Amino acid sequence: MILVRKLEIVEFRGIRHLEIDFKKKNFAICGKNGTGKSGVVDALEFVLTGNISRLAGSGTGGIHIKDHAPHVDCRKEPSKAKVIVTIYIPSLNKETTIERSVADIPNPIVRPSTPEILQVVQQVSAHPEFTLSRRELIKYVISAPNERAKQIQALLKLDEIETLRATLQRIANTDKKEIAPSDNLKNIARKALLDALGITEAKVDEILKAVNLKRKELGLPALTEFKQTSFNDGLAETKKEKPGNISKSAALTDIGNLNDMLKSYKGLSSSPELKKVIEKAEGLSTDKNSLNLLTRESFLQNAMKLIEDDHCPVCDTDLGIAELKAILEVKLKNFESVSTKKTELAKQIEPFCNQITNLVNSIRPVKEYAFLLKPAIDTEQFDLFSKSLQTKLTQLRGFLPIEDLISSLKTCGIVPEPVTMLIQTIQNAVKQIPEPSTQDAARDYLVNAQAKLESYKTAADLLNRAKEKSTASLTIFNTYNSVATKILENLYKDVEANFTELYRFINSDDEATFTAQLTPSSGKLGLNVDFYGRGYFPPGAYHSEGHQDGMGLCLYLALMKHILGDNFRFAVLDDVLMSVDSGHRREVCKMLKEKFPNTQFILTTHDEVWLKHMKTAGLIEGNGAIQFRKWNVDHGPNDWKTADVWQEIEDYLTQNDVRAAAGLLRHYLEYLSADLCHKWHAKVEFRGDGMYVLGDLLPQATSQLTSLYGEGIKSASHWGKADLEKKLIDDRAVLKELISKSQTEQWQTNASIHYNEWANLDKKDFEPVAASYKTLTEAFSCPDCKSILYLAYDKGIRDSLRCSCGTININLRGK
Amino acid sequence: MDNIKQAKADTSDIPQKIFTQFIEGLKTTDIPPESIQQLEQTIVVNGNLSEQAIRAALTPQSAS
Repeated sequence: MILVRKLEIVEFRGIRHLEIDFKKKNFAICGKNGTGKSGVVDALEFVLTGNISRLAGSGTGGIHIKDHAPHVDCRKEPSKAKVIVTIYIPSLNKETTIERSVADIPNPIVRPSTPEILQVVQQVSAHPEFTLSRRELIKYVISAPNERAKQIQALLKLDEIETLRATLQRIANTDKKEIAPSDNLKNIARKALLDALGITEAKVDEILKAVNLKRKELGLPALTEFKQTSFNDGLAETKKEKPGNISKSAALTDIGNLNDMLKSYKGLSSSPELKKVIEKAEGLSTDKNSLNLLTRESFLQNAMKLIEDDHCPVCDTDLGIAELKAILEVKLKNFESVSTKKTELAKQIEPFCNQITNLVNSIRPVKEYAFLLKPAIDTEQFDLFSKSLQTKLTQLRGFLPIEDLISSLKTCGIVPEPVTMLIQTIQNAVKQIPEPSTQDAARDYLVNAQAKLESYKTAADLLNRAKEKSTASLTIFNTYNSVATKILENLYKDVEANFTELYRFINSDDEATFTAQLTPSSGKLGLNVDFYGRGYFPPGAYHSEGHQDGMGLCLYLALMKHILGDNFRFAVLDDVLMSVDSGHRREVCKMLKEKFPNTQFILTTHDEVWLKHMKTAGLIEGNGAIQFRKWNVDHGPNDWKTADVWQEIEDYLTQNDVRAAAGLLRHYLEYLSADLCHKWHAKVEFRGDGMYVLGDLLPQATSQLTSLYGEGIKSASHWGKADLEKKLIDDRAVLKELISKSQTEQWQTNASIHYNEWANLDKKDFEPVAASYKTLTEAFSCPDCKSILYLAYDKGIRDSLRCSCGTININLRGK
Repeated sequence: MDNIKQAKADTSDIPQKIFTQFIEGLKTTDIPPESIQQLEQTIVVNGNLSEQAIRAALTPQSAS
C-alpha cells in the first residue's frame, strides 16, 4: 500500500522536534526504556490513522488524544503538535506528504492530493493494524478462544461479523422468551372458554355438542364446525333492558374464577417457596459487596443494551461499537458470580410473577360487570389493587433496588379487605339479576361462549405468531452461523497454513514439522499447536514465552498477508519478540527479509544486541537505524549524532561537570566502537552477556583500522602506485599517533567515571582527553561526507575501505 | 493545500461476502421472500446491523 520515506514530529508526545529519514527501507529504532521510541510509533500511527492505540481503549480512562497527544509543555496549544510524513505509493509510483495536527485530527493535509492518492491515504487510515506491539501480539496467542476470536476478527476487520451474530442471537433469544407469556395467555383464554361452555375438554365434538344443545333450545340449526361460523349464527339481535346486558351465568363463572385466583394468591403468604426466596433476597441485601457488584452489573447490562453506534452511551466518547462492547464484556466478566446468583433467584421469582399477571387478568372482566350493573358499582378498589399488583410485578422483575424486591416479596398474598368486599358486592348484585328464561339463558350462553372463543382464537393466534417468529429468528441465526463458520473456516485454513510455514521457518532447528489448528466455532476461535509430536495444546500450555512471542508474530504476519495480500507493504513492530532468544532472532530477521521482501518494517527495540542481529542478518542497512541514548522532558529523545555529543561534552565542561562529560564520552565511544568493530569486521573477544565495554571494543577497532591501512599499503605497492603507497603510510602514521595519544589520556576517562576520588578532576585536566578522542574519531570518517569508513566486499572477498561519497576508496586487493 | 475528511474505516470484503452468502442461504429456508429482501436491504446495502433495524426488516409491512 505505502512505504514511508520520511517522518517529522513536532511537539508531539515526548518529542519536541525530530526528523527521521527511513529511506523507504526497513528501519530500526533502538533505545533504552523511556528514551522516546514509542513516541515515534505513536506519531506514525497518528499521522496515518488519526488515532493512537495506546491512548484509547480499556485502561486509558481520562486520557484523550486531543488533550494528551501534544507535548506536555504544549498541551494548551494543540495546533503546534503535528506530525508530517512523506510516503511513497508503489501502485501509483508517486510520493505524497500527509500533515496531521492534534488541533484538527480528522482533517489531515495531503499534498499532492489527487483522488487516487486520497483513496490510498484513506485505505491506510482504515488499517491501523499495521502497528503491532507485544501487548497486542500476545493477545493473538494466549487469549481465551472467544477473546482471541475477537482480537483476530478485529485485525481482519471482521468485527461486523461478530456484531451481526450477536444481534441475531439476541433477537432469537428474545423471540424464544416471548413464547412462554403467549402460551400462558392462551391457557387462560382456553380455561375461560371451557368455563363458558361448561365442559372440561377442548375437543371439537364436545364443543359442538354443548353449543348445539343451546342452539336447539333456540330453534337454530346445529353447527357442524365453528371455524367459519359463529356459535350464535342465526341469533336475532335483541336489545335487552336488563342490567347491562350481563350474562348471569358467565358473570358468576368469571367471579368464581377471580375468587379462585385470589385464594391461590393469598396462599402465597404461607408458601415455603416464597419464604425461601425472601431469605435468599435478604441474604443478598446484607452482603454489601455483592449488592454493590449487582448494581454495577445492572448498570453495565443496561449500557450494553443501549450501545447502538460507535459512541459510549454514558460519556459519548467515540470508541467504536466493537471496542465499546469489548470493554463492557470484559467488565461484565468480573460480575459472573453475582450475575449467576441473580439469574437463579430471578428464575425462582418468575412463577410468582406469572400468578400476579393471571390475577390482574382475572380482575378485568369482573370490573366490566360492575360497570354494566344497574346501578353501576364503583370499582376504585380494583384499580388501586391492580395498580399495586403492577408495581409489584415491576419491582419483582426489576430485581433492584433489593429493598423494593424484598418488600414486594413480603407483601405477596396480601389482598386488601375492601377488594374482597367489592367482589362480594358485585357477586351479590349479579345474583340479584333475574334468572333468565331458558331461551335467554341459551342466548347468553352462545353470545358469551362466542366471545370467549374469539379471545381464545386471538390468544392462540398470538402464540402461533410468537412461535413462528421464534422459529424464523432461530432459522436466520442458524443460517448466519453456518454461512459465517464455513467462510471463516476457509479463511482460517489459509491463515493456518501460512502461520505454520512462517513458524517453521523461524524454528527450523527444533520444530521443522510444527503444525497448528485454528478452529472457528460460533463466536470463538480455538488455537492449538503441536508440541513436538506429543499432541495439540493451547500455545500457553507447554511452549516457552519466547516461542509464544514467535507464534504471535507469525500469526499476525499470516493474517496481514491475508488481509492485504501484495499491499502488505508497511508494518511497525513495536518491541515485539523481547523474549525470543538470540538464535531465533536471527531466523526472525531472515524470515522478515526473505518472506516479506516488499514490506517495509519499522522495528523498535530496547536491546542493542537485537539491533546488531538486524544488521548482520541484512534486515536493515548500516544507516537504517537510529539509537536514542537519552530522553528528557525539555528536549525529548536524543540520538547519537556526533556534533551533538562533542557540543554536549563542551557544555558539561563549561559547567565544570567533568564527571558528566567523561561519562558521556565513554558511552559515546562504546557506542561508536561497537559500530566500528561491526563495520570493519574487527575481532572482539566474545562475551556471552553481550555487555561489551570500551576496553573490549576500541583497541580492537583501532587495531583493525591500522591493519586495513597496512593491507591498502600492500595493495598500492603491488599495483605500483608509489604515491598512493606513500600517502597511506603517512595516514597510517598519523592514525597510530592519534591512537597512541588517546591511550595515554584514557586513564583519565576511566578514572573520572569510576572513582570518587577523582570527582574533583578539573575541566582543564579533561579537555585534552576529549580533544584527543575527538581528533581520533575524526580519523575514522571521511573529511568531506563525514561518514564512517566501511569495508566493501566483492563476491565475498574483502575489496576496499571506503566512505559514502567515494572520496576515500582504499583498494585492499593485490594482483 | 487540500484537506480531506477522515473516511470511516472501510472493511475487508470478508464481512460483505458473509452477509451476501447469508442472504443467499436464507433463500433456501422458509423465511418469507419479503423479509429476506428487507434483510438484504438493511444488512448488505445499508450496512445497518443494529437490532432495531433488523427487527424492522423482519416485521411484515402492513398493506397501505
